[in-house]
Amino acid sequence: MRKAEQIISILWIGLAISVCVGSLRLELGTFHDPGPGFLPFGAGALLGLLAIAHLINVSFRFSEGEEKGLPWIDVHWQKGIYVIIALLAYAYLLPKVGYLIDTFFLMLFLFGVMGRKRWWAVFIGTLFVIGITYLIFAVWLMVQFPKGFLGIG
Amino acid sequence: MDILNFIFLGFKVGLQPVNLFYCFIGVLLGTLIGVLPGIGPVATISILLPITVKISPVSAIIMLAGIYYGAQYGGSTTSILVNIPGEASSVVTCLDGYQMARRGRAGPALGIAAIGSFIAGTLSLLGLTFLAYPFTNMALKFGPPEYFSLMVFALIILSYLAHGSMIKALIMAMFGLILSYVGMDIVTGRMRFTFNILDLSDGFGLVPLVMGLFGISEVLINIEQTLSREVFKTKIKNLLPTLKDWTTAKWAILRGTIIGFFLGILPGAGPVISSFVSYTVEKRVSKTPEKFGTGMIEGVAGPESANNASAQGAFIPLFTLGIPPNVTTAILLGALIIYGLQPGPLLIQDHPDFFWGVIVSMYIGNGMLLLLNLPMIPLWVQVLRVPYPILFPLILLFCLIGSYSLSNSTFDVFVMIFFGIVGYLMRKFNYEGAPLVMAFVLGPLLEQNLRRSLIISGGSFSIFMTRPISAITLIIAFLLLLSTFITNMRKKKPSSEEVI
Repeated sequence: MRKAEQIISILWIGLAISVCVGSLRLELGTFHDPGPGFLPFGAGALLGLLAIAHLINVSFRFSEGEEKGLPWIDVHWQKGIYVIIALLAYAYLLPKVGYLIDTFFLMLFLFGVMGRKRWWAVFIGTLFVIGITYLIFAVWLMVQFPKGFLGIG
Repeated sequence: MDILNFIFLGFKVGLQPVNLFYCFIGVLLGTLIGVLPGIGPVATISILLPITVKISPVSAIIMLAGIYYGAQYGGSTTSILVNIPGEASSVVTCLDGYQMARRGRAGPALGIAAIGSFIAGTLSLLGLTFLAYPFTNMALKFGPPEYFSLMVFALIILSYLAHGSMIKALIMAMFGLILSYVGMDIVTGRMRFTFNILDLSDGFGLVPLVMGLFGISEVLINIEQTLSREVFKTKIKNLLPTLKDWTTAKWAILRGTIIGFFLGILPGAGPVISSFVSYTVEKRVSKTPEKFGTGMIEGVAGPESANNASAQGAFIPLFTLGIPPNVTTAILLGALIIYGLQPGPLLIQDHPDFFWGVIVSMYIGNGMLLLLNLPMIPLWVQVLRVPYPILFPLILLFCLIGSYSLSNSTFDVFVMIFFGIVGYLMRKFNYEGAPLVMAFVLGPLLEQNLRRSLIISGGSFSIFMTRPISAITLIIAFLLLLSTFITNMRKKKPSSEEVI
């Protein structure tokens, strides 16, 4: 855990440096007339200082009691990865295949694969959810869902 | 127009059928998500924000506020019956509430939680009604330096009261500020940190950001664990507390209300801290403190009253100063800005129908909540049995639709997924989301007020120390930072459990 915290602190420092450099390019302006980079520079610099303080803290003041393993022990972290991949695929395919088809496959995956329910229940549940959400959002709230290449949705 | 006329105006707005409908939907959803562990008011409000853009601002805020204070009611049900807090603000209710249930007194525990919440909510609203004007008059005297200092104070106190490391909370606040500066600079029109991505020219949207940080990340955390929800099998009877229960609980309710109301106004405190403080106070004033944790009714009445009073007290700084005291009200501030309303002293003057309509709806909402929570408790117990594998796909779908529908763009969906991953990692490494969101919402206002202050003072930072209100808030903020530094040098900060 200490190593992970150290790596995260270094990432924060990296972000802080990038923000400061970016802010300098934007122009800091003067105290009388602050430029667009003025406050981002201040926030970046403070972030850097805090990250250094945290790095020192975790490197030198970590007590033995606090030394724990990574927070992925004893959990099914793989499930989260599957869900993220499914969400990314959904977002990517949404304009291409349309709301109805895209959502049908996403729900089938989430209810069926992740939820491990009976397939007939998954199928009916998926259709029910799509129907209800379509009525609420597309019909009642008039959200313009993408229709996709089939022109439905 | 005196205050009675304003209250009358509020009733005129609040009693409109459409507003009664949204108020009911808000408190119903609030109770529902309060009962369900694994989804809180922050995530729900974030998920529903896109829908509210399509309705009138007053109806939208009535509904969103209903979700916020309704969740405080519902949270106690799971604490008492399952020993799993539905909300963070109901964590302490588990200690005595669950023990009461085990002893066959689930009814009085649920009853006193609902009635205490109602009394606290109503008293708190009276405070809100009568304190709104003095606060507004005070806020009208504020200039950019005072606003800047108050925002800095709010961010520091929120970080100070963070559950874990204050350094991590401050890192989150700085990260939130940096994220808020992505997009076009409103003064010069120059693009900042957009990397030539056109979709970023307006910056990150509040909705995809909070949906990702709180909605998606909450699902990711929950699905990797196997939560066992064993509902305590007992017949829930005698919901109305006995005379003896009343005698014991009435002062706890009153103390909880006062504690919650004033801590609710303070930036950073909110319902969670209020409930912990209330429990500690009840234990201190009790003649039998050793019995706390074994089923004392004061241990339920005090914290449950405190978290409700706090939820409603939080609207005072939000509406009168335009400064949100906690993350939920920060999202509501963002929502108000999206609706084209600027919270602050002019809100009450320019939009009295909005302000008083929302206030009166909260009185109505409290009444609805009492009716929803007392006779319908068996129904909420059934809701607890909804398995998470059915619930989480629905949460994800609402997040996806919500983020897409804001601007009919998949870019916002990708942004939401990205912040979902960020939020998940933050939780894993004990970084709190609240300072990030607060800083993200306050970032542009903070920059605006800093720039104006420096222009007024001719580039001198002394303006923040020569104006009394600004100087006092900055000194308090500095002292808080200093005290944390000194405490850290001496010993580790005690956790909430240690305090109890």
